Amino acid sequence: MSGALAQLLMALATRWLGAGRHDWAHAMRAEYYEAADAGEGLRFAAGCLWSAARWMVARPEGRFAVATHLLAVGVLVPMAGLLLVSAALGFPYLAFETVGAGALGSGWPQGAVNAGNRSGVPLLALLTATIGVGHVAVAWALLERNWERLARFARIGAAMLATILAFSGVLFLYDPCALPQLGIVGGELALVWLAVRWHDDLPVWSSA
Amino acid sequence: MIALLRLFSDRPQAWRHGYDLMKQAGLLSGTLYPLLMRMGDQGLVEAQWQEPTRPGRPPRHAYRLTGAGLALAREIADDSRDAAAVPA
Repeated sequence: MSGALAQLLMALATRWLGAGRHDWAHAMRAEYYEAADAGEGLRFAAGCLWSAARWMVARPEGRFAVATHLLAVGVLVPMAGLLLVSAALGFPYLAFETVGAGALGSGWPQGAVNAGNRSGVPLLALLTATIGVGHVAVAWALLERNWERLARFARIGAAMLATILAFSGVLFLYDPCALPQLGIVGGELALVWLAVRWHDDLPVWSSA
Repeated sequence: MIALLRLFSDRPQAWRHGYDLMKQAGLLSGTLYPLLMRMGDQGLVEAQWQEPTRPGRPPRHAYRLTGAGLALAREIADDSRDAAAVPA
């Protein structure tokens, strides 16, 4: 078990060191076998991973990679899950209470919806689910650094969000529970835009 | 880095492997490798690949001081000696 974990750490260290330190990654791997023979494989591998992490965050492109992975895995993908759950529950804007964040407010529309307008709700739920799936697509494009695809998905997502808000106004009149969704998704789009700008400023890459 | 320079300068012509250096200098791999990388970048240490000592194992990286590294190690050793010789 610890051998498999150590191997995983070594593989991760090799990945983090990248092409710039390819030789060092091989050197560490060769020494790992010596350490493993002495029963210190896991400790050695953890140290190598620590070395690789220090090397990665010391370089601008490494910091960019860490930040985009955090944005994709830590923000966009969880938000996709929340949007999909919200749509599956029957269109609360954002079902904060389902993830134990009820303090952020209830995403359920408060106003009464008359029978005539209620028929529009499934379509809004479908749009919410589509925005959720779109979040995964945006995260994927961000990690692949495919800025053209990312911009296309972001534009479509923003248009869908604008549609949800406009039709919410028509169906429910004004309802403040739509605002957190607007704020959070707007904040995400701003972070993605900042990531693209940051990428343009990196010395080794350009999104052009 | 000073401990590593001292260790290398004990036998400056000898090639040393990473794991052996860890044990001899009392360093962890998370400390040793960043030091070796930096010393390599600064031209203080040179490296070469050596044939594996056991079948089925990958080639091992071995290190020793360059001329510049040896000069720095001697300079540090001289400074330490001078500092120790100064009366209190």
